Amino acid sequence: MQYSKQFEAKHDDVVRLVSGSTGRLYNQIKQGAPFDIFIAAGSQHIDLDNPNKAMGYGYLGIQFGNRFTTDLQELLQPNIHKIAIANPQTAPFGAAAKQVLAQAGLWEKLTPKLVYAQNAMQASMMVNQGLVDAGFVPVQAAQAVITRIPYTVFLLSNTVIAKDFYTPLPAASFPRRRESTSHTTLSLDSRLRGNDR
Amino acid sequence: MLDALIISLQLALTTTLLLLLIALPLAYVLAFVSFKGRTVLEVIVALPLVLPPTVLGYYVLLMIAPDSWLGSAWASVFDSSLAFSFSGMVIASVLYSLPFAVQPMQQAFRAVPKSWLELGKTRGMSIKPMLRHIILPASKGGVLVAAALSFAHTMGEFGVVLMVGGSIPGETKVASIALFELVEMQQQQEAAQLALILLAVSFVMLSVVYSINRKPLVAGS
Repeated sequence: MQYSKQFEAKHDDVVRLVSGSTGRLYNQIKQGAPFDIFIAAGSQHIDLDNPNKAMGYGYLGIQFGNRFTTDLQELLQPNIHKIAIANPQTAPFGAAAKQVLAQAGLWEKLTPKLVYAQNAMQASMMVNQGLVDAGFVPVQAAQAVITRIPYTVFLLSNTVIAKDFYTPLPAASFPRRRESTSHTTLSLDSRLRGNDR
Repeated sequence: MLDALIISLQLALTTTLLLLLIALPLAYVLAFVSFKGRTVLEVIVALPLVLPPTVLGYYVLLMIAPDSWLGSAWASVFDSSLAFSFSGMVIASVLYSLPFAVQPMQQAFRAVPKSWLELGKTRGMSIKPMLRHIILPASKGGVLVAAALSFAHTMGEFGVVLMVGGSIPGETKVASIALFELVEMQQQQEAAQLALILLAVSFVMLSVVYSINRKPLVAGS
């Protein structure tokens, strides 16, 4: 989202963001949805036969109220009743959180406390509104990161898109998506195609 | 999948029973009592018909949040959180299906012949015996329709329970949400099965409603 703002500031154009789960958007693209760019989170199988792609990472952390931590043991405390997690079956951030918990041997113990959000941003909302005591939420790379989730950016349309929009960005510096698991797809206004260069 | 269906049924049954209790006095008041705020009350009851479920879900979440008066009172009595619990979903469902319970009852009450009510009055009947011996027997059809519609509408709930429930397997993950997740996971076969079951349930419930409606709601009218 911040990246689309940067783009809009540089170019006299509008970026339209369409967010949804990777699976749903993938289905839409397969059925001919007119997207220009597709950002797919996780290592899900995306069969798009598209050479124009780039990699990046989203970061997952644990939030208690206003505080972030990497200490999974804190989740076991009795005063933590409910923990928000993106649905591991549908959201890559949730799957990553589950994997971290399973590796620490905590998944079974914590399952009774878990509340499932549609995506990691919703988990974040639940913590911020005080609806749950803790949650697995998207964080910045500089914050308390417990794991990172790869994502892939596909350029879908054949139109020439301004070079500075993607190529000069090394994978590591690719912007973290604030939507987390809501795998943002950028749909560039068609006018963009004319005034790129 | 079976888990989710059972939770949906439990939620629909609980909601329907509660709604019959809540809707009865509301429908009575709206049908027979004229007072200043009646239109406002009628509008409030009808609101869930037109409100986006997300709006209702949003307000219910605020209402049952742990730091709200209801949420904290609940926590101090039951030592558990109301948000993302079955009880929280019941509260949301009752609000969401309220018009489906109140309106058929209200219409049936209004259709009770005036002469019957006056007969009761001349015999010095108070509200309770009037309800038991005259109004309710005469509007049995309306009450049945209210129950069937409340049940069907709760089974079909999605947006509200999505926001309020938290999709906890075996506790708050209802059939409609399970179906949504199956589609997201691209498990087409299970999704097709569940969709068919939900379609059948809705069809049966509406068939009940329409067959009741075909008969005159009020005996003798």
